[in-house]
Amino acid sequence: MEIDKLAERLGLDVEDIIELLELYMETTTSDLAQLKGAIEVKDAQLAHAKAHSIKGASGNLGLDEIYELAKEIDDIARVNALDGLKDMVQILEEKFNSLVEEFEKKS
Amino acid sequence: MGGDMWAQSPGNCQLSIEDCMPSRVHTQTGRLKDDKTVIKNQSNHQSSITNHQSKGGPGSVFYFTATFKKDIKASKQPAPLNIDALKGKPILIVDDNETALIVAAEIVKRAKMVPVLARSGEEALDRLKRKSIVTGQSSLAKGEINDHFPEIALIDIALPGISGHELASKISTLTSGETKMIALSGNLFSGASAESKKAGFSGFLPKPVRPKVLTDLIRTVLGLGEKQPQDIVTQHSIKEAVSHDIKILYAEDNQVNQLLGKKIFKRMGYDNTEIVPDGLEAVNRIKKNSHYDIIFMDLQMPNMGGLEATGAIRKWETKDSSQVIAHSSQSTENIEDPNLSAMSYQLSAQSGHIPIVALTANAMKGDREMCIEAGMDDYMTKPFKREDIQRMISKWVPRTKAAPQVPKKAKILLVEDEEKMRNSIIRLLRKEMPATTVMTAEDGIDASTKLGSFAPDLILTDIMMPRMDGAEFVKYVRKTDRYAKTKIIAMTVLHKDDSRVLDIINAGVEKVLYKTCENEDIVLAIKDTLED
Repeated sequence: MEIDKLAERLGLDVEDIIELLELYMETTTSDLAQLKGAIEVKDAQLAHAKAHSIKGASGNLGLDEIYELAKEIDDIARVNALDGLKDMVQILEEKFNSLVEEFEKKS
Repeated sequence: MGGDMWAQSPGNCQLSIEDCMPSRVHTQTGRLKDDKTVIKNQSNHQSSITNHQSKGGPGSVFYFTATFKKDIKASKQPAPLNIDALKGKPILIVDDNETALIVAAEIVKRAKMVPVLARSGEEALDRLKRKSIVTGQSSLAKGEINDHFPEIALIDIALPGISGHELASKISTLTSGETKMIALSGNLFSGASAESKKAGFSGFLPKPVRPKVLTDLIRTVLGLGEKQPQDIVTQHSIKEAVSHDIKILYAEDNQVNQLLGKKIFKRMGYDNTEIVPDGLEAVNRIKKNSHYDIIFMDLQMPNMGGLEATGAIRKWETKDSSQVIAHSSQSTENIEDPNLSAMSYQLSAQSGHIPIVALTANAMKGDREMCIEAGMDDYMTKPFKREDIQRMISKWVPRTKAAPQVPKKAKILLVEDEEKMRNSIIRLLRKEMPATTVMTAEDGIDASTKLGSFAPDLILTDIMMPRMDGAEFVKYVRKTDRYAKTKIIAMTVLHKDDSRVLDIINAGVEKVLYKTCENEDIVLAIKDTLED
């Protein structure tokens, strides 16, 4: 996570990026919880919506690893499949948690 | 139509443009702080009202904010600027490009500052180390040594040898931060701010430098402006004062992207942006108030996606505009002027189509076709890039949007050192091409300093001039991407085989006119070149 580079690409200040990342952490925490719940109750549509939301936000903030994973989950859930999603969400969550840690250390 | 401008302002056009510059500087800087306050308040209010509306409550967001804005402006008069604040202050300017160096020097001289020029980082450091800022033209006697470091330096980032960033770090250390620095870069979109900040710069400006923007920035960086410098100051933050008067609707369901969009649009100077969470709300907004200049639309949204929403908007537009046209053709029956009725017809036809740009995360094959088929005008992929947004706005929103049906007035910069010749060409243009706006300059340097704020469509320049001749001036213009589309016509009494004529042709002009050419040749050449 290179805040400076991101600020430069988007033409925003570092403070703006931090504010955006804070919002991102907040919404993604909630999306992830709902994504896990959706998989438990086998609601592919909800899983699709939540993965899509994580994907959309990650992409614009240059969080490529999370973006790629969320995209895969999104693509699978979109066609009403749930196979293997549990493991993928597990990895997604780990990556997200380490991002949160890194962010908290920086700020 | 176009002739009115001349008729109403019988005075010299050069005077009228020049005259309004200082007052414009004044109000714009004065408004900076107020506008920011307004934006903050506005966004708070807007969000609360948006929620309110989605529950079906009454009231119009647009109406409310407009009233609020006026109140604040009326209550706060811009404080007068101390125009002498920069007087006599030495300023170190470092640039390896001789023309850019001279242009910057000219600009700061107008603000009564004393430029100290260096052509490389080494030369700049050398001067600073010996503390021998010889202020040749200041109130100090020539050769007298100033005991202080200059308060401000203007540094080109792309220097040969020691780079601009390296130089900045060295200067920071050497002067213990006494010298504030502004970075200059030839690349408009380099977005070098973050890097520049790290190197110790307090401000960043893309080249070519606009006089007003530069002096405003110097003031701000030195803490003489109204805006206190807290962070790195860029042209973008100054730009916020010059609000672009267009209204944007952005449909996006993702909260993070909503905030991101809001920040980017605002930073680009587009303050009048409304954000809606889905297609349904977008359609509702359009039906309530169709005065949006452009819509950015996410594709996948809950309730109603982007494609479906576009379809609904297009359907509504066709229905609505046919009503308007029918109405206007009825009312124009009494108007005798055929131009006027044609214009009002055109106006209603034009207002019937709001440009819609699709925004999507997956750049899948066939997506573009799908969007166009749904009635969208263009397509851009995430992640967001400021350049993309700017490109879309420039492409789809008419520049003079207040009157899109009136042909854009061509702006001509006339560079000629002989007053008689200058006046005769002004008279000619006024008579033969009344729909143009003309700015005059006395030589290449004068022209270079005016270039940035005037942004001409066409330059008509003499070749032989004092200080900076035509060929050098053309070379300078052609080096700047921003003027890639600016047409240049050279005029000269020289023979076509003269080396100076060949020089200017090689520098890149569209045409050369050999004096004494007929008046109609000049007009014809200008019209032809502008149309190309």
